[in-house]
Amino acid sequence: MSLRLRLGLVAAAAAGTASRLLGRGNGVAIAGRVLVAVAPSALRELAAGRRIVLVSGTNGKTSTTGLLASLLAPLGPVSTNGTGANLTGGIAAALAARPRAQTVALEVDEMHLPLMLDALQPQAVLLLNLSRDQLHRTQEVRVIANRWREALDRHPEVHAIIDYEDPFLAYVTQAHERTTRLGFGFRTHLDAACCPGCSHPLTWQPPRYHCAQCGLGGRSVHRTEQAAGAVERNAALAREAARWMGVADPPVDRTRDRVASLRLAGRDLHLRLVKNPASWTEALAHLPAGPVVLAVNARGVDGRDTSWLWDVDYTPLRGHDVVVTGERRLDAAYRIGVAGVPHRVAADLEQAVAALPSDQAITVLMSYTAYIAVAS
Amino acid sequence: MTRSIEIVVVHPELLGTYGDGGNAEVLSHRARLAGVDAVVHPVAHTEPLPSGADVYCIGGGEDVAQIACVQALRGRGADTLAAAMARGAQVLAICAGLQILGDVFPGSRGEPVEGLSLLPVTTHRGVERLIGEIAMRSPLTGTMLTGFENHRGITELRDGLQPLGSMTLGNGNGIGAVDGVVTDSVIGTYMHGPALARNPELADVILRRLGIDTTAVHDDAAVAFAAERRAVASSMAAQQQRRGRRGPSARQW
Repeated sequence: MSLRLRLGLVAAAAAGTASRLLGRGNGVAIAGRVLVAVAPSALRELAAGRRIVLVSGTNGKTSTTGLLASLLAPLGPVSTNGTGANLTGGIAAALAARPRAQTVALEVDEMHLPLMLDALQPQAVLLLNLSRDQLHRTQEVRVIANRWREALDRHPEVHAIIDYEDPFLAYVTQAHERTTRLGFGFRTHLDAACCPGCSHPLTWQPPRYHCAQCGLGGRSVHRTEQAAGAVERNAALAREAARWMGVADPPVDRTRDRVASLRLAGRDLHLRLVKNPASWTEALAHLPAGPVVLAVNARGVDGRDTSWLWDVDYTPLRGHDVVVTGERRLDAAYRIGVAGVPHRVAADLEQAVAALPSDQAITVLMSYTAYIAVAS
Repeated sequence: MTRSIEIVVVHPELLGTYGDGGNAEVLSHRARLAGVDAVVHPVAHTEPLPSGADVYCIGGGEDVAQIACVQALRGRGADTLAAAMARGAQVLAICAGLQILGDVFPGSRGEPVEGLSLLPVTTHRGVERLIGEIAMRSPLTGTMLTGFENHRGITELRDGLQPLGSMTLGNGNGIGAVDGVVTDSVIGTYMHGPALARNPELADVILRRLGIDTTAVHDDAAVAFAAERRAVASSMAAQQQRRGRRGPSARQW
C-alpha cells in the first residue's frame, strides 16, 4: 500500500466521522471523495489483485448487487457497496472498508461504468437493463449505450453477462466476444422503437425484436429462463454472475426489493421506491392485495417533469383502495382519474394512511425524494 | 351518444414515448364529458394513416425516431395529413411532431433533415438543450398555458404564421419569445408530452373546432391540476423577474 493511499485512508476516515457527527448522512460518499482527492490512484490500488464484478443498469442495481454479494459468500469475504452509494466516492469507500476481501461485487451508476471499467479492471460486468430514466437528468438511453459499448471495446478481457431481451444491452455487447446472453422470453421495450445501433425501426414480434437492417437481436442466447418480472430476471442474472465467478451451485433466491417497512399511526406500511416508467409498470404489475398509496414528487432526482405518468398502465390499481399524495399529487390524481381508477387525494402520507382502513398492510409506491424522506 | 370522433395517434412507437399518448386520452375523456364518443386509434409506422379521422396527434421523441417517422410519413402519409388539414380536421403536433411538419429540422448531429413542408416553419439546432417549466399567454384560449419543455430546436415561423402564445416563462420556439404555432387546422407546441392534460382549455379548443359544444364539460381534477401548474409557473416567472433576467432565450439568440 502506497504512503499516499495510507494518508488518503486516514483523511477519508476523518471526513466520514466528521460528516456523521455533523448529522450529514452516513459519511460513506464524502469519505470516498476525500480518499480519491488525496490519492487519485486509490481505486486502482484498492482494486489490484481482487476479483471484481460490476453491476449496472437503470433499475435494480442495489437489490441485485445485494443478492450477488450474498451468492458470492461461499468464495470468502465479499466487499460490496450495500447502501447504493454507486459513484466514485461510494465505490472507493466500499473497497477501502474491507481491503482483504478478495471477492468484490459493486453497484455502479450508469454514467460511471466506463470510468470504473478502466480504473478497477473487473473480471465481469453484469448489465441488467437500460431504459429512460429522467430525461432532464441523465442523457438519452442511446448515449449511455454507446459509452458502455466503447468501454467494453477497450476491455475485451472483461466478461459481460446480460439480459439479451433488452436491445440496448444486445447492442452494447454486439461486438464483445466474452458475453453470456440470457433470454427470458419476449417482452417489449418502451424506448427501443428504433435500433440502438443503426436507427432502423425494430420489428417487435415474438420470439424477439429484430433489426432488419443490421441484424441486432438475431443471436441465439446461452440459456432461456422463466421470469415473471424484473425481480426474477435480476435474480437469474445474479446467479449467472455468481456461477461465472466460481460458485458451484448458487441457490435460487430472490433479490431483496428496495422495500422498507414502516409503522405509521398504527398501520403497517410497505414502502417501495419507484423512479421511472419501467419501475412503476413493474411495481403495479406485481401489486400485493390491499390498499395502495401513490406518493409522487418531482424534485431534482425524481425528474422535474411528470409527463411519464402518462406512459404507465394503471389498470392494475382498479379494485384497490387508492390514495394519491406527494408534491405532485394533482398530476397523478388527474392521470389515474382519466385512466378510470377511483381514488382519493391526501395532503401528506399521514393523512393518506388515515384515509384507509386500518386492518390491512398498505403498499406505498414512492418516487425517490418521497421515499428517502421517510425510509432513511 | 350519437356522435363519435376518431382520434389517430400518428406512429406512437416512434414519436410519442414521453407521455404524448396522454393527449389522445385527454381529448377522448373530455369529448365523453361533452356527450360525444371518441375512438383512439394508434397507427404504427408500418400501417397507412387513415384518411377520415377527426384529430391527428403527433408526439415528440428523440432524433433517430423523428427521422424514422418523417421517412415513414413522406409521400402518402404527408398527403393524408395535407388533405385532413384542408378539410378542417385537427392536427396536434408536439415538439418533434411540430418540427417535422415544417420544411427542415435538425438531425442527430444537427444536419438539416427535410420535413413534410405542411407548414412554413423552419427549425435549426440551438446551442444547448432547453429544459424546464414554461408558460405563455395564449390568444387562442385567452388563458395562461403551462407545460414542460425539453428540446434543442429553434423554430422560426414564416409568412405571418401565428404562434400559440407569448412566453411568460421559458423558451418555447427559442426565438421571438413565443411558443408553437396555430392555424385553422394545426396546434403545435414545445409543451412536450401530455400538453392537453395540463391545459384542458386547449383540448376544448380542438373539440370546439370539430363542432362539439364543451360548455357543459366539468372536471374538477383537471381544473385543480391546471390551476396549480399556472400558480407555480407564475411564481417562477415572478422570481426570475426579481432576479432581473428573462428566460435564457434572449441571451442565446
